[in-house]
Amino acid sequence: MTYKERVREKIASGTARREERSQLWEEITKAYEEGSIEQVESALTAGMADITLEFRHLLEKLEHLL
Amino acid sequence: MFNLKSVRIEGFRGFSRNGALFEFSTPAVLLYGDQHQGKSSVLNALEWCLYGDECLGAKSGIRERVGGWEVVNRQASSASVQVVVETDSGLVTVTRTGGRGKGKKGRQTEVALADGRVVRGDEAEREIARMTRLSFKDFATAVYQHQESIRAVLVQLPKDRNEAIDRLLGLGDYRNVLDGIARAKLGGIQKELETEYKKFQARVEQALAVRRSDLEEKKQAALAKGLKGSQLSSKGALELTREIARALEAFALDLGVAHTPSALPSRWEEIATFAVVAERELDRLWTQAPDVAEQSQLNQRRIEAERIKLEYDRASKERAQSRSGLRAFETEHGKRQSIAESIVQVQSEVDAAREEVRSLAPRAELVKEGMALLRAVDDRGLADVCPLCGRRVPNLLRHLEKEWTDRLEAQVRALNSAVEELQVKKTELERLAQEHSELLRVVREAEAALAKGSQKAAKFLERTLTEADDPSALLTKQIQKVDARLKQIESALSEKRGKLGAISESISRAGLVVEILKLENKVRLIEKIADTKEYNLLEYVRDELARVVNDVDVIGTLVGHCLAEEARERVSTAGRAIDNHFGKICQNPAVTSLCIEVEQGTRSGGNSYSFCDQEGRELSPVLSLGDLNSLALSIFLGMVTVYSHPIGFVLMDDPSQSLGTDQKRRLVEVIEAVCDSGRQVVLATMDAEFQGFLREYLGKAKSVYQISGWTAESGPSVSVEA
Repeated sequence: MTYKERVREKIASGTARREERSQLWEEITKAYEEGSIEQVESALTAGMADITLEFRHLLEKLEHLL
Repeated sequence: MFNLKSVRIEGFRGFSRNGALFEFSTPAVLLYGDQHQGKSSVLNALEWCLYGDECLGAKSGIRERVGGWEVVNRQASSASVQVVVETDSGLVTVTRTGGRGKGKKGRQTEVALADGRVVRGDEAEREIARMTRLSFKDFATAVYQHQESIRAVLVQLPKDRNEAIDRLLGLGDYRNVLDGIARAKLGGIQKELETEYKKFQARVEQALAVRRSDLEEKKQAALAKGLKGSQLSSKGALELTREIARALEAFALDLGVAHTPSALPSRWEEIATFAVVAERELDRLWTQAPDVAEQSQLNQRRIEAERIKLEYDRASKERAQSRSGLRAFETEHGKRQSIAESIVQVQSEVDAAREEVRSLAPRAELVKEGMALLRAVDDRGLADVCPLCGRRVPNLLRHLEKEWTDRLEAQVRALNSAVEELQVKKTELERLAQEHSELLRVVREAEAALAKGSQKAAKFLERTLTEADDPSALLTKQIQKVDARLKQIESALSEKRGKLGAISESISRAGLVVEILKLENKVRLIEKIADTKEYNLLEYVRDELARVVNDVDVIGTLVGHCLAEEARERVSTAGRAIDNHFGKICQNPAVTSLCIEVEQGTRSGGNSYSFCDQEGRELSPVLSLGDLNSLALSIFLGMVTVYSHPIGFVLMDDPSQSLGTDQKRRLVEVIEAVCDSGRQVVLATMDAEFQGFLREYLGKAKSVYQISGWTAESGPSVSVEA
């Protein structure tokens, strides 16, 4: 069993957010196989960048209400 | 299972276009040579021929391959490696050719199968995979012992050593994924955003406190201005605007100015605009009121009268001062005519004195020349002889000298002195004449300025002024008249001004109520900020962020679990073999049995390895570099036996790096055991002592290749020991 399958099985045997975590794991392994460690890092930070941007945009809007 | 038969290398890494052929007809093939001669290139060539690009770059999992690991030799345009292997069905030839750069140009893979078929490209790659049945990373764990895998175990920091052992066990993928997750620092990003969120919450509290305080202050100010509590509402504010409108209408009537009422606001939000319009209308009514207009005009006239009077009075004063100055001068020095006459008189005296000097001059010259002649002949005794008539006159020279001293010289000096004195007197008189002219000019200018002031006063007063009039007094009278009228107007405007102030105050109070209403609104908005769409979205994004970070954390933990689990499995499977190899190479009398324990690391997620003896005592603090080298080799050789694959050879690169003499000798025994297990060993070493032990003690047929004399142009020189 490869590392990918082994972790996938562990995620699948969990109780919470199996689907989301499985999908996230697929993204991580895809990034890793395409470009190694740096690709994993950039795939994860890119995902966070959208959330961060939205978070700051909303904060800015709320600041105007003060 | 398949074994190596030969490898031909051309233009690959250390090998130039000349190339070299290595035959693997014995159980052990030994590659001897110094550093940088091409030994490792032979092992690399076997690896590259079977795995191609998989063994390049970061994805290879081999650190030295990251960056510029060149495949093609710098003297060659392409690299070609041909490996012949013996499989159960016969000989198979794998040929891989590579060019420079990343493109496909010059790249080719070809496999000549045992049944005579030749396949190329993707089909050739599939045939190689079918034959090896081992991924590249497993190949690097169980077949090819890289120099790096030993070096990494020899490092000093336990965390680095743990990572090296994870990789030696073929668990590099887990480690790399954990590294990628750790490097993303998602927890840090979440923490940063949470800090921003908390700061925002603090700002909400702060804004609420400030707005509430402002509101209370405004309410107090409104009460102080006479507003009632019931008026501090939208209804009260609208009522105030109606009062203002009514007051404006009555005020316009009172002033006698036409008024156009503006639209009344229907909502309190429109009051601010209404207040601006009302204030403007109030100004317009006031400025257009007849009394106010006259007052304004009179004020202007008064200012003008004051200005002209001031100008006239200043000119009058300057004229008086200049005239007084002239009079004082004339009293002291006389008038211009008298000064001019004095100058003429002095000049005539100068002329007379000069004439007298001129009349004395010929005689004085004659006496001076005579004295000079007589002095010149005095030494010859001729000073008594007259130079004109030649007669002898007793004491003639002394007589002339006495006359010169007593009469002529004194006369000339007195006359010259008198001329000088007269000249000084004349200069002083001329200066006085010039000063008089200047004083006269100042008087004339002052008179002109006064005349101009008089003209301005006449124009302002709209009448003709004669010398008998005093413009200053007339202007004073005019100012008094204006003041009297202004007093009358001010008296009439006083009551109206009161009304103006009252309306303006009403507008200001309406504005204050509007500010209060705005602040109340703002406070309500901030109090209910948590109900806004944006706030709810923000909470959702926070939750989403926390979920993603938690998911990644959970995945990281699971990767760590799997890493530990698989490490335990591998150690368990290969444990006996590792213990045997370690015992054989090390022969440490205190360690009869090596036990490897695996714990999941708490910080990195990677494994933490501890090595214990037969009694469970921790060995790490007492392991020497040689012991660690033995340990790394034992793990590798142990892993060789764990994997099930058809590759019948083992590649070892510089395995004796830090081994002691005895350990090297015993390593030979272990290698012989590997050969005994049916595996072919291809080993590269620069270690002369180890080479000697292999020659002497390795009880298997062996081929020894000497690789030396490397040059950039021709690569190494390869010879086989007989």
